[in-house]
Amino acid sequence: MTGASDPRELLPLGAATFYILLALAGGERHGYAIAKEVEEQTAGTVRLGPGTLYRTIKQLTADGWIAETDGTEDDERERRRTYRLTPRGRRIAQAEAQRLEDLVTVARTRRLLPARSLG
Amino acid sequence: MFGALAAACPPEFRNEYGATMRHDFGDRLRDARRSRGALGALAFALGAYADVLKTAAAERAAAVGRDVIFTARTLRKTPGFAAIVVLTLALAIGANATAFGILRAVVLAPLPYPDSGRLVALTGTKAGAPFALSLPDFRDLSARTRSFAALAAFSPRSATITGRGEPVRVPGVTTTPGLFEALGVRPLLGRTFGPSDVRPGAARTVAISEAFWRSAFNAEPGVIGKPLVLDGAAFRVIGVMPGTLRQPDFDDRELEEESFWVPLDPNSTEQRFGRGAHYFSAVGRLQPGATLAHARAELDAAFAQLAVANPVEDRGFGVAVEPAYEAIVGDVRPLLIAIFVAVAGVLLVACANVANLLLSRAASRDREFAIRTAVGASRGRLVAQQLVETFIFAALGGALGSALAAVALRAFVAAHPAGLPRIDDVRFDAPAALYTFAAVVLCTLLAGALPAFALSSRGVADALKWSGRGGDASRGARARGILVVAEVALTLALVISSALELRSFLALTAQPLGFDPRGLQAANVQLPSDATSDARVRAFLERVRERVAALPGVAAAAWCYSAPFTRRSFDLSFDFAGRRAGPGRQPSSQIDVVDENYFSTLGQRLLAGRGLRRSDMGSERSVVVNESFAKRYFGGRNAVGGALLLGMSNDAGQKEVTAIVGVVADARSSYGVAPVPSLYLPLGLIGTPNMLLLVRSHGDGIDAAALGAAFRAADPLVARPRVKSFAGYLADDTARTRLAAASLGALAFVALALSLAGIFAVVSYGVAQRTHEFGIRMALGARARHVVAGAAGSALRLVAAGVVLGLLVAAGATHLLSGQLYGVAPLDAPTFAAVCAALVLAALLAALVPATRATRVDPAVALRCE
Repeated sequence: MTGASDPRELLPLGAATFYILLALAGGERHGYAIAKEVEEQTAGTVRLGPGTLYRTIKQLTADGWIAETDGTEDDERERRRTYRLTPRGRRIAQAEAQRLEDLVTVARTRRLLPARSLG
Repeated sequence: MFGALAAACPPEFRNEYGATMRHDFGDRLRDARRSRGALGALAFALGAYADVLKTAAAERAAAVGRDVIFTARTLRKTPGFAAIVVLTLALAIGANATAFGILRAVVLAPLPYPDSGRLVALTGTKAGAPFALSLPDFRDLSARTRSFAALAAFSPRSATITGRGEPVRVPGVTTTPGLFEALGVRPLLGRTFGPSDVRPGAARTVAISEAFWRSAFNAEPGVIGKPLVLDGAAFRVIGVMPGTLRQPDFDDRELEEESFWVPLDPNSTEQRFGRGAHYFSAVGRLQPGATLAHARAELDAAFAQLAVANPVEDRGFGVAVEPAYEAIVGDVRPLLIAIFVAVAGVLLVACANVANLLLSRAASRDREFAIRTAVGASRGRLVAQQLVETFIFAALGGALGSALAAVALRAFVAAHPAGLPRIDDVRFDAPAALYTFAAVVLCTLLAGALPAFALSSRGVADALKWSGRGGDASRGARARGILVVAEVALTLALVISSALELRSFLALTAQPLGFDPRGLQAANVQLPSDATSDARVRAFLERVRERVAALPGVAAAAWCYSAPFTRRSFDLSFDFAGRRAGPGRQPSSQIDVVDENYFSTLGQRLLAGRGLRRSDMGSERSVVVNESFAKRYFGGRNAVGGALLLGMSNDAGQKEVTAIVGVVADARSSYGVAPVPSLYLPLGLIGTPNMLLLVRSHGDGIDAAALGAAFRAADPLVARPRVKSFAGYLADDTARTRLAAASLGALAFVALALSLAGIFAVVSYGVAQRTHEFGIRMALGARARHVVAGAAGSALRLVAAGVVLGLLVAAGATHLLSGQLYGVAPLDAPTFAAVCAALVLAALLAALVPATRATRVDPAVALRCE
């Protein structure tokens, strides 16, 4: 596990990684929900297959960016393993989001994107 | 279906996420069907299958990557161990790659001619033994057989090239037209021979080799039509033949690249190509449908007819045919295969040693393995990790071994050992690299599999307990035992084989030669005129001989046509005066043509009568015979005074009677071959322009330049002679046996060293493991003798088992060698017994040295290891 290093050193994140962190930023999710949310948010362009999804989840868990929740003791627990962001994971997601916003700002000044409307 | 594919993932991943993935898949499939219909569901399913397979591959690759990093760390932490393993494998793999490179070029590669499987070599025979054909016989055989698409007869010759700077001697071939067509070789420039070249009165034409073209003509494209003077006669160059064409000379003669071909009319009626002049070989190409057996039958039938029609010249002669490949390679193949098997045996021994090392080392990592198992590493994972580690060792060993092999092969070609054909093609090339890689994989499996499986099967609980008391019945002990037995068996077989070869070599070279080769050299000289029967030419010879004898360091010199070990002999038929044999029943004897100094220069002893004198030269009145001749034809009686008629009985005209004036001791012509009856004729009786000048000197010998100067002073047209020492001739004669003895000896030494190291390691390890036990025994007053016996006992029992097994393996191995042995049987009991005893003694030493350490264990230290 990485120590308290600057999260910016770990940027840019892989695509699958950021989408998963983004999905978990909205709260605890289980695997299926994460994949569905990513698919909806990217209008179907990014589809995380079951293998890639859990491989990335395994790596993120090992790195300490997400954690499996102990969750409620219902018998759906058997099927649904849920995950949440750890504080570290949240900081890293924020750093990546900030990096992307900075890029978008530059894109706006270069007229690649329309300027933010004021209204 | 998804579940089946998910099984491709590594067990750890599968155990953790497998069920979850399957359930997710089910949910999402239902979702897809609901929102996008059956087609959408199918699309999702296929995508998911691909995804899970990709994940499985990625996870496994990551696991291997972790193993590689782990191995690298191990290498850094224990560089000594790693070095021993890598070096052991490098030596073994390098030796194998070297042997493979040689085997491939010399034995396995096909001949460099198109469709070479159809090429055959025809050799004349005499009384069943290899001899030669005559030109008229060849002519008649080609007319009377249908099996051949092309046939050509050829005979080696040489010529002095003049008119291009210093005169040089170049070897070449006299051949009937059709040689190049038979071999399937197209000229680089110009054309091949045709009927126009051998028509009576046709201009003399010659074809030259590519190397000759480059060196003598500077590779100029306009060489066709240029003149070339051979032995004083003007020839015109009509073709340049490519470098792939080697002399079709299936003897052991050194093949040289610079050469020429001169066409010969197969219908020639010249006397020197008469039916009785047997000195041609032939090469042919079988017709597309013909088989070798059929061709052989045809040839035998045809020759039988010839023998009946020409009893004087052909009775007792015959012709043998075999695939050209066999003629070149057949002799040497058993030896090379034996060496190859030996070197593979060394590889097995090396792998056994490495496996043993891995087992011993890993046994001390008991707890690490146990912990890894306890936290969920599957057995497959542990096996995979061990194999990855072994593969890295083997790959490093293979890389180093390849470098060693490349160097060794280059050195081998540079050393140019006699007796092996086609060694110019030997190099470390792509097939050798491929073979090295295969050896690496094999080593990985052989050396790594046993440790991997033996180590991963242990129960966890036992290993986690601190066990200083574990006897040798610990992890992998049985596997190690098997390895020691195998090593000892292979080593014994190798050492016995090399001992037999060594004895062969010694037996061969122990035979008395009948002459003194020390300080003796032979200069091969081509004289510029046709015959030596002219008195003027004999005077020239004497002038040269005197000049050479006067050189500093020279003790004696003599002219002759042939000398022992020079492989230049020829035969002559004769009759006893007053007792002419019928046609074809004449005895024949090996003959040599010598001057009056020959026997004294050579050091050949006179047994009866006298040697030859100056006054004998130039006539056929006197002849000297050797002891074998006297025994064969005169029994116990004195041969001196016997009267002979030399030459074939159908020679026209009265023949002069030749008297035997002396008997000399036998001189051996070749190791391993008994001396044959021989006649020694004075110079001038049989003319030949190619002579040997024997020179005996006090010191190291005379160099060719000094001899060449002496010759040129007498006649500027004489080319520089080629000089070879008799030490060289003798060495060439035993080249194959020496090669066998040297390579098997080296391999046996390596195997022995590896095995002894292995025994040493096994006993050392056992002592280390049982430190506790030995400490207690010593503290309780056990005799040192018994402790040592206990430490070494099991290892020595393994050695005994290995020796028994090894005797069986050796019996089989020596059978492979039996064709190469001389003077010693394949199952020679004294050799077997001596080697066994030596090996047991060595093993005893190797085991006792570490075993005595058991007696020096400090009891206090041992007891503390609790």
